[in-house]
Amino acid sequence: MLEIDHLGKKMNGIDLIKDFSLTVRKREIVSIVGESGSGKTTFIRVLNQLDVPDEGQIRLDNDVLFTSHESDKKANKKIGLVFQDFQLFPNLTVKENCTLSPILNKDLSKKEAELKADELLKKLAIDDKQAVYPKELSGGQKQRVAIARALMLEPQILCLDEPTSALDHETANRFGELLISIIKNDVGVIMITHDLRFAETFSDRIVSSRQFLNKS
Amino acid sequence: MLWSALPSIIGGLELTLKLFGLVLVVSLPLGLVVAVVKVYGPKFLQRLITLYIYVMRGTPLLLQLMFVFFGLPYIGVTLDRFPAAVFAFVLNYAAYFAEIFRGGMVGVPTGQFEALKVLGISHFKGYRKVIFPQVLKTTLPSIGNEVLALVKDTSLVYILGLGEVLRAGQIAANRYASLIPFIFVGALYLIVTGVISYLLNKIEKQYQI
Ligand SMILES: Nc1ncnc2c1ncn2[C@@H]1O[C@H](COP(=O)(O)OP(=O)(O)OP(=O)(O)O)[C@@H](O)[C@H]1O
Ligand SMILES: [Mg+2]
Repeated sequence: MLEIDHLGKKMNGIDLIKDFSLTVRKREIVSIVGESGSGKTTFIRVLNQLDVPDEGQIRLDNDVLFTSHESDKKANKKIGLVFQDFQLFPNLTVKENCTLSPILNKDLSKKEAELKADELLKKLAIDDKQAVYPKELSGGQKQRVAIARALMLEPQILCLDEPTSALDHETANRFGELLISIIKNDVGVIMITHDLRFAETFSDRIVSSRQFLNKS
Repeated sequence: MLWSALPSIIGGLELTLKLFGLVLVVSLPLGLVVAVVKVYGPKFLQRLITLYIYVMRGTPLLLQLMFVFFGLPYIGVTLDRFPAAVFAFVLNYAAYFAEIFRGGMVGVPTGQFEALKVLGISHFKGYRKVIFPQVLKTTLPSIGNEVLALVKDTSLVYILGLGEVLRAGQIAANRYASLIPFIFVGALYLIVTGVISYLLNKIEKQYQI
């Protein structure tokens, strides 16, 4: 369970997030919707320690991940992130993108990592592209690779920034089903989306970014 | 009779290649280190490097050569001809390479660094496996240009009285009152630069992912 407690974040002296609390459970999909510039991406960046919060505390299963004062670098991997533009590593193949972190950090042997990547890529129906470089993939394929790369670390929470913005209706639906199959492995999902229909169909809860500032 | 000039020209070529290889092998990694420090190092080192690069790129290499070999002895630093040449060339070329690498490093999108961070990959490992290969790919064409320029620039060491290939050619041309040695030396340069261009192309293709 992810607990965000009294989070505060200013950007250029303006409050983007103030006294915001949210709990995300395992096997739960939470969508964040709201206006452009309202701090949705910033919120997800704070969760992933790419931006430092000004106030508050974030806990995962009662472990303090970080507060505004300190951040625990090791805890980082428990929260995964799929960037809006995926940020796959262009010099590595699909499979190498997936196995890089577990191998470099010695979390898995090379063989174990490759087996696991095989499994995930198969599950995401992209295993035929294992040996291919990212630039040869379509947007939707890149997205699935980015998801596989994040899932390799077995995060407890997976964050996705506007995952459906580049998908057509049908692909988005398939993507929604994919999310539902992902959370079955005790993962919680936080996603930002502009697609209200998608959010209503596939998430357990919708949070408006107006709540970042406690507006209704 | 022209044939008798051949050994000295071949000897000159040997010296040219030795200088070229040595300078390349030292200045490329040095340039990379300078670039890394210029981007990530402390402020005062950044300034120092900016000044160093400004001086190296803003003055003629010929002057730098003369400064090292003829100038430094006045303050008690005397180098032999060849080490002096290598030293001056390395300083000069490392500056150019550093600027090229720096440009490549700044050109890698911040999202790539953030992706590494989110995946829990350390700076050092991330640089080695992800960032640097991208830098290499984008900078290879410019690096290649500099490498070819270096082949030709080595002829400048004639000013130190080093018998590189061009000087050997000129001596032969004078002795036999013939322009054949110049043509011959030109052909040698073309062969060397041709081989290097070919190799550079191959390397570029390999990184063309
Ligand atoms: N690196 C930054 N430096 C300064 N201001 C920033 C930075 N990143 C974002 N901001 C500002 O913070 C605010 C929130 O940006 P954010 O990207 O979180 O919005 P968003 O809700 O994700 O919007 P969108 O729906 O358009 O993606 C914006 O006003 C933006 O200009
Ligand atoms: Mg955004």
